[in-house]
Amino acid sequence: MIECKDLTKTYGKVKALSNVTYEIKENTITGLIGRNGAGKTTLLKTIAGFYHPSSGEIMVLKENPFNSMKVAANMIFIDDQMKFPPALNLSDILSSAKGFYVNWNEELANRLFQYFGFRPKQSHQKLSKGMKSTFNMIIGLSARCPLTIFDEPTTGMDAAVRKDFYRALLKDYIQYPRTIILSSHLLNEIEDLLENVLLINQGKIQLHMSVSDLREYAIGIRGNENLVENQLIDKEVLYKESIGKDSLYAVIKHDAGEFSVEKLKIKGIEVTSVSTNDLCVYLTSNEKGAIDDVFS
Amino acid sequence: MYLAETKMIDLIKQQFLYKVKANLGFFFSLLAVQSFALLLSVNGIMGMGTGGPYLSINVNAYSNDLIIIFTMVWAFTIAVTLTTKEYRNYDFTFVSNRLTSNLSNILYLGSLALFSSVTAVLTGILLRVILFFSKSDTILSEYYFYISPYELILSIFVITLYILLLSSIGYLAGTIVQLYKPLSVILPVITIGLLIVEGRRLGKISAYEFFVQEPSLFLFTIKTLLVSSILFGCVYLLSNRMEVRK
Repeated sequence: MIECKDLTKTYGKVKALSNVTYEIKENTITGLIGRNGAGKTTLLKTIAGFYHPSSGEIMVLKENPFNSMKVAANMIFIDDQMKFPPALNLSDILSSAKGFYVNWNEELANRLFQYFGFRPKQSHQKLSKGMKSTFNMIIGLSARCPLTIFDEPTTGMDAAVRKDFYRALLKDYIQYPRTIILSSHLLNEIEDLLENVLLINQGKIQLHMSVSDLREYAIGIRGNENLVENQLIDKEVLYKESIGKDSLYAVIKHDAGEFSVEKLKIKGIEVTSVSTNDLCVYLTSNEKGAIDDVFS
Repeated sequence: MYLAETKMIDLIKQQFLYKVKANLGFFFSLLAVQSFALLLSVNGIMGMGTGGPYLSINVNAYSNDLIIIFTMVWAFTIAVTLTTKEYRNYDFTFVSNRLTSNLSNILYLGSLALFSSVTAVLTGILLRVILFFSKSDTILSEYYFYISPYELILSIFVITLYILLLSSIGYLAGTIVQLYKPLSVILPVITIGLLIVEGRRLGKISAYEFFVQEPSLFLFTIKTLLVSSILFGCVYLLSNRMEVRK
């Protein structure tokens, strides 16, 4: 569906994306995870054909998305910056959208519209942030585009609506499979939904793997400082934190078969799994240390 | 997965309809502009009088020029408006690429040109009707007062072309300004400055001579259509690499 090779995008001297290479297969849900300013939106807008890559190659549906009719007709890009003409009320916008998207599911649109308590005569400009996001999401789901891109779709939504949205997305995806890319920085909320995770950090791809692989990517060990330090030799340490006086918690990359959990337990070291969300935070942490260092 | 095969012509039609629906406000602004111009025109553009002990003559000239000029300025403004970031983004909310966005804009501006030309000419007739009833004690020059159907069609045609020309200038100017914001000041200064210099030095304005003083209708049509097409073409070339939804 999407192939990207050595894609670089610069704004003046700032590199937003540098030599990004990845491939996204058809009919999968991919989560694009990264911190603020990591290049998520730039990457998505390049896929959508809104931005022009500075160098490298991007192919969507085997075409260059920039100015491609085929990509435009089969892609929808949902974010909280979506602009609609002020003269149109919500029901006008829905009926306009219907004209643009051949796969548009009117029934779904109307049902979601009613479920979330919108009124047809409301103006999009006057909606609250969360309501805007919810409305845009309705358009994104109902358009049933082969390539559906949600750039931080849950901005401003309350917890209940977010939950509803994820559920609606999954249900509609099962009924009508398509390629969905979802960007977010809240991985724990969406990890049950995703098949793959694309972790992006400072314009580079940190990792691209399935969620189940990501869950086993690292383990956390906790115990006496010296004991734990001993275990860290020759290991890829992702995170280290002192707990209490002489206790240490460390997250290390999990290489299968290298050490047994049983052995560690006998030594008095506690072994825990690491949540994908924490893992992504550790993987994308900057070298300047933690927030505590700012205050010390 | 079923891939949509959208034909370009269908998409342009869809975008055009979307623009008509989304920009109904433009028609109200046209109504306001033409009403205002009508109000100004009712007083006449020129008046002179002479008189003796037994007789005095007052000659007043009325014209719908002002209505047409106001309509042209309106069209220019609308064309500039369509090039703003906000309006471009409206297109790219739904299915669009740069070519269809421009083509549907041109189609839209062309329709507005025809529509506003018709209403401008009809406002001119309204002006005649108002004068007929309000100046019932004066003699109206029949030669100018009545307008034949042929002349009516001809005025609509010529004014449409003028408005289209103005729209294309506005559309190009707006696009250039979008690419480089400081030009919003530089561009008008240079244009007006050059017109003044040319007018003073040579006593003529070549653009005026080229279009307005062209005696042949056929050549005038060719000239305006050609120049508008070139300007619209320039916009396409300029906007072809423009990034959207920033």
